[in-house]
Amino acid sequence: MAIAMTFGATACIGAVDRADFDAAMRARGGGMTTAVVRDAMAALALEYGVTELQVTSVNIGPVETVEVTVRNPARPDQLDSFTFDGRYLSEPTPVPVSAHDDLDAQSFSLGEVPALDRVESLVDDALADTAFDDGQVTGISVNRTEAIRPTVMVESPRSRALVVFDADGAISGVHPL
Amino acid sequence: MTEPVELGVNAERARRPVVARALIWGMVIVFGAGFLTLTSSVIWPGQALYLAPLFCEQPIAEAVIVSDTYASGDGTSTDFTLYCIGDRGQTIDEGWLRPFLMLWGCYAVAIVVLVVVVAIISRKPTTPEQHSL
Repeated sequence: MAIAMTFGATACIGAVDRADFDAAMRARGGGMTTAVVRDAMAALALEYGVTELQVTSVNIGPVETVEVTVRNPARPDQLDSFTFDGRYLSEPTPVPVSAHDDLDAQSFSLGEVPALDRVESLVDDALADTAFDDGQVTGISVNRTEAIRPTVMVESPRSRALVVFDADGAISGVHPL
Repeated sequence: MTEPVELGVNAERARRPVVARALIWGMVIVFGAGFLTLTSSVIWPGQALYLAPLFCEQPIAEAVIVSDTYASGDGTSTDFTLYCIGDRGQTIDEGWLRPFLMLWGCYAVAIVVLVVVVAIISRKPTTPEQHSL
């Protein structure tokens, strides 16, 4: 509960304004960690009662938000989307599957992406490589097209770039946007 | 034969004011501590940071009080939230109710200690004449 108080001119000693807090957390890395990905996958495995899941995308965002699109182990032709906020897993949301989608070609397991065992390094390497002033990582996305490629979006007030990694977590390209 | 009954009645009558007084003191302390907590936490919400070890564990052990200020019908309202944060920007929302209740408890204990100390100090020492009476 938050106590709402109407108090005209009050100096809130020791409190940080929300905007400053959010900016400070983003500057620290936005809570994008290996632990939150691991927790999300553990929660998903528990949800389906399996030890390993096939996914078609993993998106990691600031404030410990992990969005995962999962192939339902009981119905591999169906995709479900989940959001994990660091503590709780959302209810599944059905994802439309096109007749042209090749889910076998698009899906992968987390074991195939060693880069997701070092999420902090992805963030640090992307920031170091782009070297933007006041640059911040605004999201990490993992998809499989021809190969599994984690991509990290780095933004600053004046620039944006997409840093592409290989599945092992080595930078394979930087694309200014 | 009736003496024990009368003694029991007298003891019961004597106990009533003591119980009533204790209840009144209890309510005064609880409500006084509540008022103190409410006013002081608005002026100095950062005092809840001292409770961080009770809420935040490693590796997200640092605590921050975040204020959300917005316009309301009566003027400006401010909500406070205690967050545990980590080195990589991890955040855990601990809300404000539990920190507030903890502060309330701390203030209540402090007031009780203060009252007891004042009562002990202000108690007049008995003279030998009073003892002989």
